[in-house]
Amino acid sequence: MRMPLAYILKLSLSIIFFGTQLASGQSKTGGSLSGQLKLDSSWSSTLYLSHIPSFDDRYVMSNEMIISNTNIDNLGYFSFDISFLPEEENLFRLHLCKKGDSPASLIIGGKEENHLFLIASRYASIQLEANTSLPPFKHAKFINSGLNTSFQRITDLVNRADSIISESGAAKRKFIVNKLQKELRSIADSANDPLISLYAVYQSKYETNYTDHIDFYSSYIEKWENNDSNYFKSFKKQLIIPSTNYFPIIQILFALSLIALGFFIGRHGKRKKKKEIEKLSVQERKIFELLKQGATNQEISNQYHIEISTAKSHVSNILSKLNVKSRKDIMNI
Amino acid sequence: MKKKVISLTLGLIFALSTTVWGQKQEKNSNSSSSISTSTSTASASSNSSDIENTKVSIERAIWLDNDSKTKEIVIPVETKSKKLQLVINSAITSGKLSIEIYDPKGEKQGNFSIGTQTNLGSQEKVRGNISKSLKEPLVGKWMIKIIPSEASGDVHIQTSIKL
Repeated sequence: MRMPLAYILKLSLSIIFFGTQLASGQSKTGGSLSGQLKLDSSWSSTLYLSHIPSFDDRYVMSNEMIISNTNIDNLGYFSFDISFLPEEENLFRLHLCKKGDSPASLIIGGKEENHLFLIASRYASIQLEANTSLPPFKHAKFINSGLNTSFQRITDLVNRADSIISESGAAKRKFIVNKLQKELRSIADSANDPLISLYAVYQSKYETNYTDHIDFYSSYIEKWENNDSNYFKSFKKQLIIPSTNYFPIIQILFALSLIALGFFIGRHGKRKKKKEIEKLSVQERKIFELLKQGATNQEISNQYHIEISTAKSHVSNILSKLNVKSRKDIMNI
Repeated sequence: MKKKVISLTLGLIFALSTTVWGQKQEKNSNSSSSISTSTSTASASSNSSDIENTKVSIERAIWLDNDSKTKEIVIPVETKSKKLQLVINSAITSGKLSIEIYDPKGEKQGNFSIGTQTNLGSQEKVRGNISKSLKEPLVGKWMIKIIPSEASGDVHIQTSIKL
Protein backbone atom coordinates (compact mmCIF):
# COMPACT_ATOMS: atom_id res chain seq x y z
CA MET A 1 0.00 0.00 0.00
CA ARG A 2 1.45 3.36 -0.93
CA MET A 3 1.69 5.86 1.91
CA PRO A 4 0.77 9.39 1.01
CA LEU A 5 3.84 11.64 0.62
CA ALA A 6 2.45 14.28 2.98
CA TYR A 7 2.00 11.69 5.71
CA ILE A 8 5.59 10.45 5.32
CA LEU A 9 6.87 14.02 5.42
CA LYS A 10 4.93 14.78 8.61
CA LEU A 11 6.18 11.63 10.30
CA SER A 12 9.78 12.39 9.35
CA LEU A 13 9.54 15.93 10.66
CA SER A 14 8.06 14.72 13.97
CA ILE A 15 10.85 12.18 14.39
CA ILE A 16 13.48 14.84 13.66
CA PHE A 17 11.83 17.26 16.10
CA PHE A 18 11.61 14.83 19.02
CA GLY A 19 15.03 13.54 18.24
CA THR A 20 16.58 16.99 18.58
CA GLN A 21 14.70 17.58 21.79
CA LEU A 22 16.16 14.44 23.32
CA ALA A 23 19.63 15.15 22.00
CA SER A 24 19.76 18.61 23.55
CA GLY A 25 18.53 17.24 26.87
CA GLN A 26 15.78 19.82 26.93
CA SER A 27 12.28 18.71 27.64
CA LYS A 28 9.54 21.19 28.18
CA THR A 29 7.74 18.68 30.38
CA GLY A 30 10.03 19.38 33.42
CA GLY A 31 13.68 18.98 34.22
CA SER A 32 15.60 16.46 36.24
CA LEU A 33 18.93 16.24 37.97
CA SER A 34 20.05 12.72 38.70
CA GLY A 35 23.09 10.56 38.85
CA GLN A 36 25.28 8.27 40.87
CA LEU A 37 27.89 8.97 43.54
CA LYS A 38 30.37 6.67 45.22
CA LEU A 39 30.30 7.33 48.96
CA ASP A 40 31.93 5.71 51.95
CA SER A 41 30.07 5.20 55.21
CA SER A 42 31.24 8.50 56.71
CA TRP A 43 28.81 10.49 54.54
CA SER A 44 25.14 10.90 55.26
CA SER A 45 22.74 9.65 52.59
CA THR A 46 21.20 13.03 51.86
CA LEU A 47 22.25 15.23 48.95
CA TYR A 48 21.44 18.95 49.08
CA LEU A 49 20.86 21.43 46.29
CA SER A 50 21.54 25.12 46.94
CA HIS A 51 20.90 28.14 44.74
CA ILE A 52 23.92 30.42 44.30
CA PRO A 53 22.67 33.92 43.42
CA SER A 54 26.04 35.29 42.26
CA PHE A 55 29.53 33.95 41.67
CA ASP A 56 30.67 35.91 44.72
CA ASP A 57 28.45 33.63 46.82
CA ARG A 58 30.04 30.35 45.72
CA TYR A 59 31.68 29.90 49.10
CA VAL A 60 28.80 31.12 51.19
CA MET A 61 26.78 28.56 53.12
CA SER A 62 23.54 28.92 55.02
CA ASN A 63 20.35 26.92 55.44
CA GLU A 64 18.48 29.59 53.48
CA MET A 65 20.46 28.74 50.35
CA ILE A 66 19.38 25.08 50.41
CA ILE A 67 16.35 24.73 48.13
CA SER A 68 15.98 20.98 47.91
CA ASN A 69 17.33 17.68 49.17
CA THR A 70 17.05 14.08 48.11
CA ASN A 71 17.96 10.65 49.36
CA ILE A 72 20.94 8.71 47.99
CA ASP A 73 20.19 5.01 47.82
CA ASN A 74 22.57 2.17 48.74
CA LEU A 75 24.01 2.08 45.24
CA GLY A 76 24.65 5.83 45.25
CA TYR A 77 21.78 6.79 42.94
CA PHE A 78 19.93 10.06 43.50
CA SER A 79 17.35 12.15 41.67
CA PHE A 80 16.02 15.70 42.08
CA ASP A 81 12.85 17.08 40.57
CA ILE A 82 13.93 20.51 39.35
CA SER A 83 10.67 21.60 37.71
CA PHE A 84 10.39 24.43 40.26
CA LEU A 85 13.69 26.04 39.19
CA PRO A 86 13.70 29.27 37.16
CA GLU A 87 13.49 28.99 33.39
CA GLU A 88 16.74 30.88 32.93
CA GLU A 89 20.05 29.23 33.69
CA ASN A 90 21.31 29.76 37.20
CA LEU A 91 24.24 28.56 39.26
CA PHE A 92 23.59 25.82 41.82
CA ARG A 93 25.62 23.77 44.24
CA LEU A 94 25.26 20.15 45.27
CA HIS A 95 26.69 19.19 48.62
CA LEU A 96 26.92 16.30 51.04
CA CYS A 97 27.37 16.23 54.79
CA LYS A 98 29.37 14.03 57.04
CA LYS A 99 27.28 11.90 59.38
CA GLY A 100 26.46 13.91 62.47
CA ASP A 101 27.08 17.26 60.76
CA SER A 102 24.35 19.81 60.23
CA PRO A 103 22.95 20.12 56.67
CA ALA A 104 24.53 23.54 56.19
CA SER A 105 28.10 22.40 55.99
CA LEU A 106 30.73 23.52 53.47
CA ILE A 107 34.14 21.90 53.17
CA ILE A 108 36.63 23.48 50.77
CA GLY A 109 39.76 21.67 49.73
CA GLY A 110 41.24 18.45 50.99
CA LYS A 111 39.98 14.88 50.67
CA GLU A 112 36.64 15.74 52.23
CA GLU A 113 35.65 18.55 49.91
CA ASN A 114 31.90 18.08 49.84
CA HIS A 115 30.44 20.15 47.03
CA LEU A 116 30.09 20.62 43.27
CA PHE A 117 28.84 23.55 41.20
CA LEU A 118 26.58 23.21 38.17
CA ILE A 119 24.32 25.20 35.88
CA ALA A 120 20.67 24.24 35.76
CA SER A 121 17.27 25.51 34.79
CA ARG A 122 13.69 24.30 34.93
CA TYR A 123 13.80 22.23 31.76
CA ALA A 124 17.35 20.94 32.00
CA SER A 125 17.98 17.23 32.05
CA ILE A 126 21.26 16.64 33.87
CA GLN A 127 22.97 13.39 34.69
CA LEU A 128 26.01 13.21 36.90
CA GLU A 129 28.47 10.44 37.61
CA ALA A 130 31.21 10.55 40.19
CA ASN A 131 33.43 7.50 40.54
CA THR A 132 35.74 8.44 43.38
CA SER A 133 34.88 8.56 47.04
CA LEU A 134 37.64 10.88 48.27
CA PRO A 135 36.49 13.53 47.69
CA PRO A 136 33.04 12.48 46.50
CA PHE A 137 32.75 14.91 43.57
CA LYS A 138 36.28 14.67 42.26
CA HIS A 139 36.41 13.78 38.55
CA ALA A 140 32.62 14.15 38.33
CA LYS A 141 31.25 13.79 34.80
CA PHE A 142 28.12 15.25 33.35
CA ILE A 143 26.32 13.11 30.83
CA ASN A 144 23.94 14.56 28.23
CA SER A 145 24.61 18.09 29.38
CA GLY A 146 27.02 19.89 27.08
CA LEU A 147 26.73 23.03 29.14
CA ASN A 148 27.79 21.37 32.39
CA THR A 149 30.48 19.37 30.65
CA SER A 150 32.09 22.68 29.59
CA PHE A 151 31.49 24.04 33.08
CA GLN A 152 33.16 21.02 34.67
CA ARG A 153 36.13 21.29 32.28
CA ILE A 154 36.89 24.69 33.79
CA THR A 155 36.66 23.23 37.32
CA ASP A 156 38.92 20.32 36.35
CA LEU A 157 41.44 22.67 34.73
CA VAL A 158 41.65 24.77 37.89
CA ASN A 159 41.83 21.70 40.17
CA ARG A 160 44.67 20.22 38.11
CA ALA A 161 46.58 23.48 38.21
CA ASP A 162 45.97 23.82 41.96
CA SER A 163 47.39 20.39 42.67
CA ILE A 164 50.51 21.21 40.59
CA ILE A 165 50.80 24.60 42.28
CA SER A 166 50.60 23.11 45.77
CA GLU A 167 53.52 20.81 44.94
CA SER A 168 55.64 23.40 43.11
CA GLY A 169 58.20 25.82 44.37
CA ALA A 170 57.55 29.55 44.44
CA ALA A 171 59.19 30.35 41.07
CA LYS A 172 57.38 27.61 39.13
CA ARG A 173 54.12 28.49 40.86
CA LYS A 174 54.17 31.98 39.37
CA PHE A 175 54.48 30.65 35.82
CA ILE A 176 51.71 28.11 36.32
CA VAL A 177 49.37 30.72 37.79
CA ASN A 178 50.01 33.14 34.90
CA LYS A 179 49.46 30.41 32.31
CA LEU A 180 46.24 29.27 34.01
CA GLN A 181 44.86 32.79 34.19
CA LYS A 182 45.65 33.38 30.53
CA GLU A 183 43.91 30.15 29.54
CA LEU A 184 40.84 31.00 31.59
CA ARG A 185 40.61 34.46 30.05
CA SER A 186 40.75 32.82 26.65
CA ILE A 187 37.89 30.46 27.61
CA ALA A 188 35.91 33.41 28.96
CA ASP A 189 36.42 35.28 25.70
CA SER A 190 35.38 32.43 23.44
CA ALA A 191 32.48 30.96 25.46
CA ASN A 192 29.03 31.67 24.07
CA ASP A 193 27.16 30.86 27.24
CA PRO A 194 27.30 33.82 29.68
CA LEU A 195 27.54 31.74 32.84
CA ILE A 196 30.32 29.56 31.46
CA SER A 197 32.16 32.69 30.37
CA LEU A 198 31.73 34.41 33.72
CA TYR A 199 32.72 31.28 35.63
CA ALA A 200 36.02 31.22 33.73
CA VAL A 201 36.60 34.87 34.66
CA TYR A 202 35.96 34.19 38.35
CA GLN A 203 38.19 31.13 38.34
CA SER A 204 40.98 33.25 36.84
CA LYS A 205 40.92 35.31 40.08
CA TYR A 206 40.33 38.46 38.07
CA GLU A 207 40.41 40.59 41.23
CA THR A 208 44.18 39.98 41.53
CA ASN A 209 45.05 40.90 37.97
CA TYR A 210 42.35 42.95 36.21
CA THR A 211 44.40 46.17 36.42
CA ASP A 212 47.05 44.42 34.29
CA HIS A 213 44.44 43.50 31.66
CA ILE A 214 42.19 46.56 31.55
CA ASP A 215 41.65 46.28 27.78
CA PHE A 216 40.46 42.70 28.08
CA TYR A 217 37.99 43.46 30.85
CA SER A 218 36.75 46.63 29.19
CA SER A 219 35.88 44.74 26.03
CA TYR A 220 34.52 41.85 28.11
CA ILE A 221 32.08 44.15 29.87
CA GLU A 222 31.11 45.65 26.51
CA LYS A 223 30.50 42.19 25.05
CA TRP A 224 28.04 41.31 27.81
CA GLU A 225 26.59 44.77 28.44
CA ASN A 226 23.10 43.60 27.50
CA ASN A 227 23.19 40.80 30.03
CA ASP A 228 21.31 42.06 33.07
CA SER A 229 21.40 38.86 35.12
CA ASN A 230 22.30 39.09 38.78
CA TYR A 231 25.54 37.29 37.98
CA PHE A 232 26.79 40.02 35.66
CA LYS A 233 25.43 42.84 37.80
CA SER A 234 27.36 41.52 40.77
CA PHE A 235 30.53 41.11 38.68
CA LYS A 236 30.32 44.62 37.22
CA LYS A 237 30.02 46.10 40.71
CA GLN A 238 33.37 44.54 41.66
CA LEU A 239 35.14 45.82 38.59
CA ILE A 240 36.23 49.45 38.50
CA ILE A 241 37.38 50.19 35.01
CA PRO A 242 38.83 53.72 34.49
CA SER A 243 36.77 55.43 31.83
CA THR A 244 37.82 58.01 29.28
CA ASN A 245 34.73 60.15 29.60
CA TYR A 246 34.96 63.73 30.78
CA PHE A 247 32.29 63.56 33.43
CA PRO A 248 34.73 63.60 36.35
CA ILE A 249 36.43 66.73 34.96
CA ILE A 250 33.05 68.41 34.63
CA GLN A 251 32.27 67.45 38.21
CA ILE A 252 35.54 68.99 39.44
CA LEU A 253 34.95 72.18 37.46
CA PHE A 254 31.41 72.44 38.84
CA ALA A 255 32.69 72.02 42.38
CA LEU A 256 35.34 74.69 41.83
CA SER A 257 32.78 77.09 40.43
CA LEU A 258 30.57 76.53 43.47
CA ILE A 259 33.51 77.33 45.74
CA ALA A 260 34.26 80.51 43.74
CA LEU A 261 30.59 81.52 43.90
CA GLY A 262 30.57 81.01 47.65
CA PHE A 263 33.70 83.15 47.95
CA PHE A 264 32.23 86.03 45.97
CA ILE A 265 28.91 85.89 47.82
CA GLY A 266 30.75 86.02 51.11
CA ARG A 267 32.88 88.92 49.95
CA HIS A 268 29.82 90.80 48.73
CA GLY A 269 28.18 90.25 52.10
CA LYS A 270 31.22 91.67 53.86
CA ARG A 271 31.22 94.80 51.67
CA LYS A 272 27.53 95.36 52.32
CA LYS A 273 28.09 95.18 56.06
CA LYS A 274 30.99 97.66 55.79
CA LYS A 275 28.74 100.19 54.05
CA GLU A 276 26.13 99.85 56.80
CA ILE A 277 28.77 100.44 59.51
CA GLU A 278 29.77 103.68 57.74
CA LYS A 279 26.21 104.93 58.30
CA LEU A 280 26.74 104.87 62.08
CA SER A 281 27.53 108.13 63.84
CA VAL A 282 30.88 108.69 65.54
CA GLN A 283 29.45 107.89 68.99
CA GLU A 284 27.58 104.87 67.61
CA ARG A 285 30.78 103.51 66.05
CA LYS A 286 32.58 103.75 69.39
CA ILE A 287 29.72 101.92 71.11
CA PHE A 288 29.66 99.40 68.22
CA GLU A 289 33.29 98.51 68.98
CA LEU A 290 32.37 97.88 72.63
CA LEU A 291 29.37 95.78 71.58
CA LYS A 292 31.63 93.64 69.44
CA GLN A 293 33.57 92.85 72.59
CA GLY A 294 30.36 91.88 74.36
CA ALA A 295 30.03 94.96 76.58
CA THR A 296 26.81 95.42 78.58
CA ASN A 297 24.79 98.66 78.70
CA GLN A 298 26.25 99.45 82.14
CA GLU A 299 29.81 99.03 80.82
CA ILE A 300 29.03 101.29 77.86
CA SER A 301 27.51 103.87 80.21
CA ASN A 302 30.61 103.78 82.46
CA GLN A 303 33.05 103.96 79.54
CA TYR A 304 31.52 106.99 77.88
CA HIS A 305 30.00 108.65 80.98
CA ILE A 306 26.49 108.54 79.62
CA GLU A 307 23.16 107.55 81.16
CA ILE A 308 22.17 103.90 80.81
CA SER A 309 19.02 104.96 78.94
CA THR A 310 21.23 106.84 76.44
CA ALA A 311 23.43 103.76 76.04
CA LYS A 312 20.32 101.65 75.42
CA SER A 313 19.09 104.08 72.81
CA HIS A 314 22.44 104.02 70.99
CA VAL A 315 22.45 100.20 71.01
CA SER A 316 18.93 100.14 69.60
CA ASN A 317 19.94 102.52 66.79
CA ILE A 318 23.00 100.44 65.99
CA LEU A 319 20.94 97.25 65.78
CA SER A 320 18.47 98.95 63.47
CA LYS A 321 21.06 100.54 61.17
CA LEU A 322 23.07 97.32 60.85
CA ASN A 323 19.89 95.33 60.30
CA VAL A 324 20.69 92.78 62.99
CA LYS A 325 18.44 91.32 65.65
CA SER A 326 20.69 91.02 68.67
CA ARG A 327 24.00 91.96 70.29
CA LYS A 328 25.22 88.44 69.48
CA ASP A 329 24.81 89.19 65.77
CA ILE A 330 27.00 92.28 66.20
CA MET A 331 29.70 90.15 67.87
CA ASN A 332 29.67 87.88 64.78
CA ILE A 333 30.24 90.74 62.35
CA MET B 1 59.71 -1.30 92.42
CA LYS B 2 57.07 1.06 93.72
CA LYS B 3 59.60 3.89 93.79
CA LYS B 4 60.54 3.23 90.17
CA VAL B 5 56.90 3.32 89.07
CA ILE B 6 56.30 6.56 90.95
CA SER B 7 59.40 8.25 89.51
CA LEU B 8 58.49 7.08 85.99
CA THR B 9 54.99 8.49 86.38
CA LEU B 10 56.35 11.79 87.68
CA GLY B 11 58.75 11.93 84.75
CA LEU B 12 55.91 11.44 82.26
CA ILE B 13 53.81 14.12 83.94
CA PHE B 14 56.78 16.51 83.76
CA ALA B 15 57.33 15.80 80.05
CA LEU B 16 53.66 16.37 79.31
CA SER B 17 53.66 19.66 81.20
CA THR B 18 56.64 21.01 79.25
CA THR B 19 55.06 20.23 75.89
CA VAL B 20 51.99 22.28 76.73
CA TRP B 21 54.12 25.03 78.33
CA GLY B 22 53.39 27.38 75.38
CA GLN B 23 49.71 27.40 76.19
CA LYS B 24 48.11 30.83 76.87
CA GLN B 25 44.45 31.57 77.48
CA GLU B 26 42.79 35.05 77.07
CA LYS B 27 39.23 35.71 78.09
CA ASN B 28 37.26 38.85 77.52
CA SER B 29 33.51 39.58 77.53
CA ASN B 30 32.95 38.61 73.86
CA SER B 31 35.54 36.08 72.79
CA SER B 32 38.27 33.88 74.06
CA SER B 33 41.11 32.10 72.38
CA SER B 34 43.55 29.47 73.37
CA ILE B 35 46.75 28.57 71.62
CA SER B 36 48.57 25.34 72.07
CA THR B 37 51.88 24.56 70.49
CA SER B 38 53.46 21.24 70.01
CA THR B 39 56.62 20.46 68.18
CA SER B 40 57.54 17.05 66.97
CA THR B 41 60.95 16.09 65.75
CA ALA B 42 61.85 12.93 63.94
CA SER B 43 65.13 11.78 62.55
CA ALA B 44 66.07 9.05 60.12
CA SER B 45 69.42 7.87 58.92
CA SER B 46 70.41 6.71 55.48
CA ASN B 47 73.62 5.06 54.27
CA SER B 48 75.41 8.33 53.67
CA SER B 49 74.00 10.88 56.13
CA ASP B 50 71.46 11.59 58.83
CA ILE B 51 68.22 13.28 57.67
CA GLU B 52 66.21 15.33 60.12
CA ASN B 53 62.64 16.45 59.47
CA THR B 54 61.02 18.95 61.73
CA LYS B 55 57.35 19.76 61.71
CA VAL B 56 55.84 22.54 63.76
CA SER B 57 52.13 22.17 64.39
CA ILE B 58 50.06 24.85 66.01
CA GLU B 59 46.43 24.64 67.00
CA ARG B 60 44.36 27.66 67.88
CA ALA B 61 40.79 27.78 69.07
CA ILE B 62 38.71 30.95 69.12
CA TRP B 63 35.33 31.06 70.78
CA LEU B 64 32.78 33.62 69.70
CA ASP B 65 29.92 34.85 71.84
CA ASN B 66 27.66 37.25 69.92
CA ASP B 67 30.89 38.70 68.56
CA SER B 68 31.27 41.30 65.81
CA LYS B 69 34.93 42.14 66.21
CA THR B 70 37.29 41.23 63.36
CA LYS B 71 40.28 39.23 64.46
CA GLU B 72 43.52 38.73 62.58
CA ILE B 73 45.60 35.67 63.27
CA VAL B 74 49.14 35.94 61.98
CA ILE B 75 50.94 32.79 60.92
CA PRO B 76 54.62 33.67 60.59
CA VAL B 77 56.60 31.64 58.09
CA GLU B 78 60.06 32.74 59.00
CA THR B 79 62.46 30.44 57.21
CA LYS B 80 62.34 28.69 53.86
CA SER B 81 59.81 26.07 54.88
CA LYS B 82 59.16 22.98 52.82
CA LYS B 83 55.42 22.87 53.29
CA LEU B 84 52.62 24.80 54.90
CA GLN B 85 49.32 23.15 55.74
CA LEU B 86 46.39 25.12 56.94
CA VAL B 87 43.05 23.76 58.10
CA ILE B 88 40.33 26.03 59.42
CA ASN B 89 37.20 24.53 60.94
CA SER B 90 34.35 26.71 62.09
CA ALA B 91 30.82 26.27 63.33
CA ILE B 92 28.28 28.87 64.37
CA THR B 93 24.85 28.71 65.94
CA SER B 94 23.93 32.34 65.31
CA GLY B 95 25.02 35.32 63.26
CA LYS B 96 27.43 35.26 60.33
CA LEU B 97 31.08 34.47 59.99
CA SER B 98 33.58 35.02 57.19
CA ILE B 99 37.07 33.58 57.07
CA GLU B 100 39.75 34.88 54.69
CA ILE B 101 43.29 33.66 54.17
CA TYR B 102 45.98 36.07 52.91
CA ASP B 103 49.53 35.35 51.89
CA PRO B 104 52.43 37.69 52.87
CA LYS B 105 51.84 39.67 49.66
CA GLY B 106 48.29 40.42 50.75
CA GLU B 107 46.69 38.22 48.08
CA LYS B 108 43.65 36.26 49.11
CA GLN B 109 44.33 32.54 49.02
CA GLY B 110 40.96 31.27 50.14
CA ASN B 111 37.75 32.29 51.85
CA PHE B 112 34.29 31.21 52.88
CA SER B 113 31.28 32.61 54.69
CA ILE B 114 28.64 30.90 56.79
CA GLY B 115 25.44 32.33 58.17
CA THR B 116 22.39 31.34 60.17
CA GLN B 117 18.76 32.23 59.74
CA THR B 118 17.60 34.65 62.40
CA ASN B 119 14.35 32.87 63.21
CA LEU B 120 15.66 29.42 64.13
CA GLY B 121 17.42 30.39 67.35
CA SER B 122 20.05 28.06 68.75
CA GLN B 123 18.65 25.02 66.91
CA GLU B 124 20.61 25.88 63.82
CA LYS B 125 24.25 25.11 63.23
CA VAL B 126 26.27 26.02 60.15
CA ARG B 127 29.73 24.68 59.52
CA GLY B 128 32.53 25.82 57.24
CA ASN B 129 35.91 24.23 56.65
CA ILE B 130 38.81 25.08 54.40
CA SER B 131 42.09 23.23 53.81
CA LYS B 132 45.12 24.64 52.06
CA SER B 133 48.42 22.92 51.41
CA LEU B 134 51.39 24.65 49.82
CA LYS B 135 54.95 23.59 49.06
CA GLU B 136 57.64 26.23 49.71
CA PRO B 137 55.19 28.84 50.98
CA LEU B 138 56.06 32.50 50.73
CA VAL B 139 58.21 33.63 53.64
CA GLY B 140 56.54 36.27 55.76
CA LYS B 141 53.32 36.82 57.65
CA TRP B 142 50.36 34.78 56.47
CA MET B 143 47.11 36.09 57.84
CA ILE B 144 43.78 34.59 58.71
CA LYS B 145 41.00 37.14 59.05
CA ILE B 146 38.05 36.12 61.16
CA ILE B 147 35.11 38.43 60.49
CA PRO B 148 32.13 37.67 62.72
CA SER B 149 28.82 39.51 62.66
CA GLU B 150 26.94 38.89 65.90
CA ALA B 151 28.30 35.38 65.68
CA SER B 152 28.34 32.70 68.35
CA GLY B 153 30.40 29.61 67.74
CA ASP B 154 33.98 28.58 67.40
CA VAL B 155 36.89 28.62 64.99
CA HIS B 156 39.71 26.08 65.08
CA ILE B 157 42.87 26.80 63.15
CA GLN B 158 45.47 24.09 62.58
CA THR B 159 48.71 25.13 60.98
CA SER B 160 51.52 22.78 60.22
CA ILE B 161 54.89 23.93 58.90
CA LYS B 162 57.40 21.37 57.68
CA LEU B 163 60.94 22.75 57.92
